[in-house]
Amino acid sequence: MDDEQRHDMGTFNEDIIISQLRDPKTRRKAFESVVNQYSEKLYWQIRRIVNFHDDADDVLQNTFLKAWTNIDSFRNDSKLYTWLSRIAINESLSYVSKQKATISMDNEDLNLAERLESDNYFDGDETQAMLQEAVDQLPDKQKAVFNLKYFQEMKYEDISQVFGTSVGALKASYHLAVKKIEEYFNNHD
Amino acid sequence: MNEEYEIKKRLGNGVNNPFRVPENYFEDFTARMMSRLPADESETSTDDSSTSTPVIEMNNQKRHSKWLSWITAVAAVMVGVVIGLHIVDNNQQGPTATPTPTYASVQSSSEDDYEDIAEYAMIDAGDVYAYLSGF
Repeated sequence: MDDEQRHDMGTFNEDIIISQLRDPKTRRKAFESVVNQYSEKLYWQIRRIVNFHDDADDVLQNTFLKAWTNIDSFRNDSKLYTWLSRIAINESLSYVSKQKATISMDNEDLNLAERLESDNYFDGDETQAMLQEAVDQLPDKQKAVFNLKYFQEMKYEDISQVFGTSVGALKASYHLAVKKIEEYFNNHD
Repeated sequence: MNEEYEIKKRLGNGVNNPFRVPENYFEDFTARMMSRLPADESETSTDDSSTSTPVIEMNNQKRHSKWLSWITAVAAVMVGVVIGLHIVDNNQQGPTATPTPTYASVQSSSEDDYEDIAEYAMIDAGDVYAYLSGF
């Protein structure tokens, strides 16, 4: 990577990037900047939902592939990161749903906490593994809202852009998610 | 008090990330991702048109007029041959022996005529497809 490329990667101006994404001649290079800019943030969003690194890597790649093939459908009424977050959340939930169906059919052990504690890329304690298991048992919408609010520390206004729902509805979802997680912990004390 | 206070109290140190990634995962991800992206169709087609638009237009016009003149010539030869065969046929059979042509006889006559024309012009289906595709 030469100095000019490194400079391009270092300065990320969303308006310029969006106009470059609209031009087929500069699209690929602009998209490279987008991947470079947002891959890590999106990865952590995804990882908190799918839990395992290999799965998160697959979903992150699928997210960018989907963004690339649908780049013409991106509208300026939301930020790039918000649009990518929406794709990432949908891809993650869909991935987990398919995976659960497969695991159920195979009659495998569903204890996520135990699987996490034996994973090389998880070095949390038992409580953190239990938190992931509690989150994993939430309905999709609550799971996604809890992840964005609690782990990513996003504002309700930004989350409402991701889901296209009101702040009030998100607060209700988050409140329910927190209550269910607390119940989960209380039941496992 | 935050509504997630109970959760944070259990975790001890608030939001802590217990997950890890392989070494250099994020550093290498962009290059790996870009190598997986398929070619952008609009990128390819626009690049072609932007670099060679005049040439393509000239070729298209040339190809189009060449194709039209060829079809016109074949049509003219077909009409001429059919009329000629009809006159010769009438002269041989005389005015009293002209039967009313049925659909089958007209159809087979046309197909025979076409085959004759193709044979005289020394063309086959391959030539026709080559002309239509512009090569």
